[in-house]
Amino acid sequence: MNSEMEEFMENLHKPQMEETPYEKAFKLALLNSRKSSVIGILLIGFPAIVLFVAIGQAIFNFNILDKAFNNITSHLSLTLRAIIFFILTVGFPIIAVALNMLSITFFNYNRQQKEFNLTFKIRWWNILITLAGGILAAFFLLHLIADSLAGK
Amino acid sequence: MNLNEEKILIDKAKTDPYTFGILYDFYYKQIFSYVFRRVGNYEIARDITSETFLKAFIKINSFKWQGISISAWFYRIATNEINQFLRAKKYRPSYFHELFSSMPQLTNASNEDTIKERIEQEEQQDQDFIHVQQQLKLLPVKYQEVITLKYFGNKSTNEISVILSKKVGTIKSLLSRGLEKLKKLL
Repeated sequence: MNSEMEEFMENLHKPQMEETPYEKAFKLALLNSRKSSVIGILLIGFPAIVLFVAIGQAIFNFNILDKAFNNITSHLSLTLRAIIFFILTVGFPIIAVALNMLSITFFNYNRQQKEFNLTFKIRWWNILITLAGGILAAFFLLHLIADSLAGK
Repeated sequence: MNLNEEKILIDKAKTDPYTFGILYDFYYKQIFSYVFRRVGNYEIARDITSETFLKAFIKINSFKWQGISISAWFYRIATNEINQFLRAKKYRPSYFHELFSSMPQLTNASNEDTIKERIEQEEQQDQDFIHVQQQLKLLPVKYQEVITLKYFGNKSTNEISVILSKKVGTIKSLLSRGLEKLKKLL
């Protein structure tokens, strides 16, 4: 009884598959996902560490950040040190803000309706880092402006 | 691809993502066909296949070579995902959703709709297949699994026993009873 059924199942014509554009697109996204997550962690993690150490430094009055920076850049000229300090404290958080904003922002142009749609995806982790990065960059930028106005 | 070549590729894929791409290219169509023939919906089959390869990619370091093709592992992940889809009212591929939900270009790829329509239309033309597929869904999952792996995935009894982690004897008896039940429904 089953051999008949087995034969029927074996000879049953099944839908055949072909390569889809999705298959290639997904492969690219899949293989790059590890790389993207490492870059994401670096860009999100570094400003976050700087932020926590900066807050800790302000509250508990220790100088880890200053000392580390001075030790690493002691052999460089003052101008170069200022540029590096600016990049680390303002540039990096701004890059993190930009990347995190881009990862939750989507643009779409609807030709039929002649509409340009801008969508923000609610992903709290990205929003939190964007806010933290923005606060950090603003804090150091305002601090630098205040210092230059005071003529330090 | 023979087993030795596959073993070398798996070892390399643990450190080099692009080597995983070779395994992906080799097995994607097989897994997608198996999933599509079982669920009968292009989008769901696509999501389940994506989740399968994503999970495999993330967990490749924990894969232990036992002299059996990695395809058995892919089929096992895919089968679990299908079962999850059948159990849940709304299937949500968690890894896929977490990592790729922000990439509209994946689902809006050009020609995607045309190909989807063509595959689904072709399936509609296979009336016998559609009928078998619908009746199969009425059977308990344990029968669905073995029948689809055997006849839609073209797997041998030994391979099915590896994929489902069940004894060969159990697979044979599930197949026999499953076919009997299916025959009554047809």
